[in-house]
Parts: sequence; structure tokens; C-alpha cells
Amino acid sequence: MHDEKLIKNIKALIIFFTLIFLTIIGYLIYFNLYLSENIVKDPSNPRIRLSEEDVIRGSIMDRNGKTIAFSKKVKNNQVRIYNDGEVFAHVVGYNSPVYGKTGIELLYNDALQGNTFYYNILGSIFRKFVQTIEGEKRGSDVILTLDYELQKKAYRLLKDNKGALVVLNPKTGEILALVSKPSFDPEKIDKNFKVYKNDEMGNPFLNRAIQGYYPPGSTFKIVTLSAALENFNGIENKSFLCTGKLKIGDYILKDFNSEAHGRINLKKAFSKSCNFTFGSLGIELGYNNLLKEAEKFMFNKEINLEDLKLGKCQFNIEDKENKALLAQAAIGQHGVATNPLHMALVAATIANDGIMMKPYLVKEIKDEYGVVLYEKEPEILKRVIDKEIAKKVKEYMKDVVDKGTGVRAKLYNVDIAGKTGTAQLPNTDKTHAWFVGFAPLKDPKIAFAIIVEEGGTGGKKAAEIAKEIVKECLK
Amino acid sequence: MEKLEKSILKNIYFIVMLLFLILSLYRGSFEIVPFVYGTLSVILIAYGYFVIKKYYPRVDKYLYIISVFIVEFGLVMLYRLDFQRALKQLIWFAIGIMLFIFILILFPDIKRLQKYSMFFAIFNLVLLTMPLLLGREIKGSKNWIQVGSLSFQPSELAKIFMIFYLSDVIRKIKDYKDVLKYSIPIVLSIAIFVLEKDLGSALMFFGMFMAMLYVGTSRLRYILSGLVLFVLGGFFSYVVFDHVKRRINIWLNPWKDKYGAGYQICQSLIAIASGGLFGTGLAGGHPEVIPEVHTDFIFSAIAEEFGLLGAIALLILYLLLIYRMLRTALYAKEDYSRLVAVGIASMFAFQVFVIVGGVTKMIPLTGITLPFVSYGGSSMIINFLAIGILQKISEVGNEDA
Repeated sequence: MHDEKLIKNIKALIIFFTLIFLTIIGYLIYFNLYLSENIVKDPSNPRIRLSEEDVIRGSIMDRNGKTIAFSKKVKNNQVRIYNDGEVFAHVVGYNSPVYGKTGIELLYNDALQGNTFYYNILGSIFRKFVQTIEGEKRGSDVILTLDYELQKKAYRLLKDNKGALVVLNPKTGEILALVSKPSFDPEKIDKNFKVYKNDEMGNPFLNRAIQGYYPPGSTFKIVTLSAALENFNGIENKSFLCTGKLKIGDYILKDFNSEAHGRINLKKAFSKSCNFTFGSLGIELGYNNLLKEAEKFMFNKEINLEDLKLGKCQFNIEDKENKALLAQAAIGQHGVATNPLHMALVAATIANDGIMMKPYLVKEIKDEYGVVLYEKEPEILKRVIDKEIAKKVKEYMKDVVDKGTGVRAKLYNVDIAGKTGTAQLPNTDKTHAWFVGFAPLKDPKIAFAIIVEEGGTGGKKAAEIAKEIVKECLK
Repeated sequence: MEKLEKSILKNIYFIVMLLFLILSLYRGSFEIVPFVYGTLSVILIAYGYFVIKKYYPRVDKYLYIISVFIVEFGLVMLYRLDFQRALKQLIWFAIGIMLFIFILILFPDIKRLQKYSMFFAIFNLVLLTMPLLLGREIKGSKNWIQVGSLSFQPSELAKIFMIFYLSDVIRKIKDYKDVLKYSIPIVLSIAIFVLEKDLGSALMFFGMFMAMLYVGTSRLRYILSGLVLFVLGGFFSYVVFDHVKRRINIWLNPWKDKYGAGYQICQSLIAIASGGLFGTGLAGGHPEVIPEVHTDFIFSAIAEEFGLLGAIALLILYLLLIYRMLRTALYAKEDYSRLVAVGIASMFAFQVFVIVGGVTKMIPLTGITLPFVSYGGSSMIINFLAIGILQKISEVGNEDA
């Protein structure tokens, strides 16, 4: 007797189940379109490793062809071997089946696995052909701009300090050394990952050279100096009377140890790193001029690099009218933050007559037969200041090493230009030691930046490291 | 009609042989075993079809055709994953088809089972409590019993008994009191499932009950009350039972513990994602890395190697099958058979929904089999039993047509 109703209900049920199935299908489509891309990349995906196991992973080498990382077969498994793993860890990264990949291992994974993202057509056809015959596939090699010996030396020079060091070629932007300490051993990553991760004091996974966030201290005076030279005519002939204490309203900006430099000109003020002079210059320049100059040097700007993830540098004062803060900003002590690679770029810009080159780490990619698949051409990142201004700053920086705060970096056979920095840390009397510069003065081959955390004044530890670096490079 | 059926079957044979040919060739040289295996499975299908066509021309043959096509999906995938299991599955498939034919020959008109509904209810509960008393825990669920070297999942048979019971009593429901009275066995069943940690079956039983209740009584408020009680019961289980809580938490964020508790579901999602639109191709992916891939996660393996398109095709096959089942219900002669058909169709629909939704993280994962595809004898036999019963109903339904 309920027949009609039953029939109607069964038809409704057909519609209901159809809707349920369409919902599943809709969800699957959504899943494929929006979620699957990231899910496939998850390091817990065993397929990544299974497909990689078939290919002997390519090597990573220094600029002279010295091997930094390579893979070999042990029984049926591939092992990744790192020469001086800790020295290159932050650049090369690690390659773990469990914890994934970082650094060059991650960014150039396709090349190292021999995937066809980089290829020259004839070479690739030949390669595929030979591989089919030999039955063994091998990835391509990545050749870095780093110099093995220099990198090793730099790593040793930092000793047990926390800190970082960057050396680059100011004319091309090639990074010759990039060290961050403390470091980790990429070969033992599977065993030690948690130890590294939990080391909150040392934070070995942090690449201080590019991800550090430090006040630049007096090294920022390079920027203030170039702003003053650009904005004030005849400033070089002006003299300042340094009392060691610059009074700005209620605030007193002190020189190091409150030392009074007396009557000095701009060059000497830079050489002695006079806070009084540069603090007053900052106030005179005003917030907008100083900001403009800092942004020319890429503060507050995103620098996108293919091979590195460079942290942002900032120049930003919360109260633009506050002269005390402005004076502190002009000496790199307030509202300014940077990282060693960026400061090396600042020095390199001066060395390269005001032109900032784009830094890079990967020079070439070659397949297993030595055929070059990719070669990096140097690129200009930005024209920052005029050649004339750069020339003057160069002279000023030479003076710093010759007879100023950076005298410990001095070498008798090479002219070195530099600037020391002693960045004060909030709420302690500890300071980070900075030294940035380039050498030789006439025809710069290297520009560098060094930071030693809690390393005292920049004129000591940092300057001594700089001297050794220049020695190593120009020997 | 017959021409269309034959052309569909020919296409199925062609596709199946093509897939097994791929399995014969993909290692670089021709292997005869996959080809023979495929041929045997095709012969089984052809034999089953021959018998139905010859002796029971009135039955709805599409039920059979769609079902065996779905079975072939599973056979191909199992063969690719695990030869030993595929061999056993082929034997189960053969037994399933025999059983299916026996039901057509021997089974009385379904209507006659109506008077045994109390027996079904009691036997259902006996079956379900058996594993609690003499069963052992396999894969985290205590819903197996073992006789000699054979393990058997009583819940598979119990669902058919439950359908027979419900089909009778639902017609007698007049008010809420009746609902309470007649739903005692099913509420008990669901409670036992929760205790046995077999949440998938609990979900499936509930869905099936609701669908039958609605079709039989036309009262939406019964369904609404049922849903409210279900949510309350679900919440209660979440608070009381650790295993329920764990499932829900894994569902909410499996990636948090992707090497531990969330491993299965994460691996399943990765497999589905690896397939993309067209899949990696048969034997081109790595579905063997998914845990329990031959049972609960076989859908993920299909999605990886046959792609989104293959997965959707399989779902559409299930939808067609369910449609054919409900169509049987529409053409049935009397209400009891009608409700049995509705019950079986709902059972399939919810089972597919629960497991496919589970492995894709649409709903919390609860391990049950994907009908006709997952490896397992109990499941295969019961599914053919169900199809056989429907076939019987369609035979009676088409008597005068």
C-alpha cells in the first residue's frame, strides 16, 4: 500500500548517492589541483628517493674542480660523501632521505639528478644513448664559485666563535667563501638532526652569513659617508670638533670610551670611526636623505638570488623626527639591521666603482662527460653611486687600515681598504665585531665582510681575520 | 539488448587483456604468467555470463557485468602488487562466481525469507560477538575469527543478515516507539563494532540503516533524530575511547606525525598525489610503499597508477552498479525484496564512500575493504552473495516483463 511512496523514496536515494559520489569526485579533483603539488614534494615521499636511487647523484665541486660532495655506490645503496662537510655545510646543505634537502643539494637537485631541466640538445641525446647502453645513469656536476682552500681557511680563522664570513669577487659577484659558525656535519645529518635542531644556543642550522640579522655598527658609516659626500659640497674641507659626547636633547651619543678626537676633518673622523662626527652628519642629512642612501645600498629591498635565500636588511626608525635616533642610525646602531653577505656587497660596490654585482654561487653545470650545460654570466644588480664618490670612499677606507681603527689588518705588500664596526647589543656590554673591506685597493680582487659574535671591537679579532683572508687570496 | 551486453563484455575482455599484457612486458621481456592469469580471469567472466544468459535470460545482466569489471580492476592491481595474493584472489573470484550461480539456481524467492527476520537478527549478533570471544586482533581491529589457517571476518556476513532483518521490521514501524524497539539489534551491532575498533563497519551500518529507514517509512524526522543520536554517540566515543580520539586527531592533522601515527594516511595521500591526472601508468609508480596497500589502500594504488581519470572511472563504475541495484529495487515485485535491494545498494554505496573518503582524507580513515577490489576472501564472497541476491530479485521482478 506504500508502494508509490517507496518508489519515490528509492528515486530520491538514487539522487542522493549520485550526489555523494559527485562529492567524492569533486574532492578528488580539488585534491589534484590544489593539494597534490605540495604533498608530492614532502620529504616523507619514498618515491623521491626511489627514483633518485636509480641515478648516481652528481658531484658538487669548487671553482678549481676540487670535489666537495660526491656519491658512490656501497652495495646497492648510494652514499653521499662530503669532504670537509662542516666547512661547506651552509652552502652545500644536506641530502637526507628523512629530513629532506637544503642548500645547493636542494636548489640544484634537478641538475644533480641529471634531469633534463638543464641540457644542450646534442649532448643530452648522446648522454641518453650512452646511458642506455651502459645501463647506469649519472647526474650532472655542479661547479661552485667557492674556493676550497679559502673556504677552509676562513672556517679555521673563525675558530670556535659564533659568526660568519663572506668573500666575493667585487667585479663579478662570484662568492669565493661563505662560512657560518657553528656548523653541522651533513654526512651525519640523519643521526644528529635532532641534536642540531635542539641546540638553541648555537643554532647550527642558521646560516648567519645570509640569514643573520645584525646591527651593522660603524660599518654603516660607509653609507653615511657616501650620503654626506653626495649631499654636501666641500664637506671634505670642513672640520669637526669632537668632544667625545654628542648631546642631543636628553640623549648623549658617546664615542668609544668617550674618547674626544678634538678638531678633525671628515677623513680622519671616518678613519677613527668618530661617532660624534657621523652622528651629527646623520642629523644634518635628515631622515629622508639617509634613508634614500641606505635604500640605494639595498637596505629595505628584497635581493632575489638564484642560489641563496638572502635575508632582508632594514633601515627604519620608528620616529622620523627624533634626532637622537637618527644620530644612532647614522652610526649603524639603531633601526639598522643587515647580514654579512649584504655588508660584503656594500664593500664590493665601493670596490667596483659604485656598481653592485649580483652575487652567485654556481658557476657551471657540467654533465658526466664534461659538456657544459649551463654557465653563469655575471649580472649587474644595481648602479648604486657615482664612480667619483666611490673613489673617495675607497681612499677613506684605505686610511682606516693604514692608520685608523683597522690598522691590525694592515699588510706591507698589499693596500687594503676596510671599515671596522663594533655593534653594541641591547642590555649587555658585549659587542659583535665587524670588519668589511676589499683588496687590493687599485684593482680589487676580493671584497669581504666578517662578523664575530661577541668578539669585542671590530679593530681586533675581525680585522686580524681580514688580514689572513687577504693573505690567502693574494698569495 | 544482448548485442550491447556482448559488445560491452568484449571491450572489457580487451581492456583486461591489454592490462595483463602490460604486466607481461614491463620488465623488459615477455612473461607468460600474467597473460595466462588474465586469460583465466576472462574465461571465468565469460563462463559466468554464459550460464546466466542461457538459464536465466530475464535477470539484469548489467549487475554482473559491472561487478566483474570492478573485480578485474582489483585483480590487475593485486597482480602488480603481490603475485601470491593475486593468485588467491583469483581463486576467491572463482568461488564467488560459483556461489553467485548457485544462488540463482538454489535460492528460493527472497520473499520467503521474510518470516525468519528474528533469526537473522539473532544470528547477526552471534556472528558479531564471536570475534570478541574467540577472535584475535589483526591490524588493530578485533573483528576476525580464525579457523585453522583461514581467517574470516564475520562482520561481512553480518551485514547481509542485518539487511534481511531490517527489510522486514522497517515496514512495521508506525511511531518512535517502534523505531526504538526494532533498532535494538542494529544499535547493539554498532556498539560492538566500536568495541572491536572497527569504526568503518559502524559507519557503514549506520548509513545503511538510515537509508533503509527513510525509504521504508518516508519520515525525515527519524533520520534527523538518528543523525543527532549519531553525533552524540560519536562525541561520546571520542571522549571515552582512545582509539576513536586517535583516529580523529590523525585525520585533522596527519602530517604532524607523518612517520608515526599518520604514516598510513600520509603515504596514501602522497600516492594519490603522485598519480596526477593520467597516473604513472600501470607498474610505473611505487604504490608498494603504502602500508596495507592490497586491502584498505588499494584505491590509492589505483589512483597513483591510473591517475585521477582512472580513479574517477572506478567511482563511476560503482555509481553505475549502485544505480543498477536501486533500479532492481524499483522493478521488484513486493516491498520486502525492494528493501533488501535498497539495503544492499546502500551497503555498497556507504562502504565505497567510507573507504574512498578515508584514504583521501575527506573523512577520518577507518579501515574497511573496497568492495570487489580489496584483497580478501570474506569480502569477495559476500559481495557476490549480495549480487546474487539482487540478481534473484531482478529475475522475479522481470517475470512478467
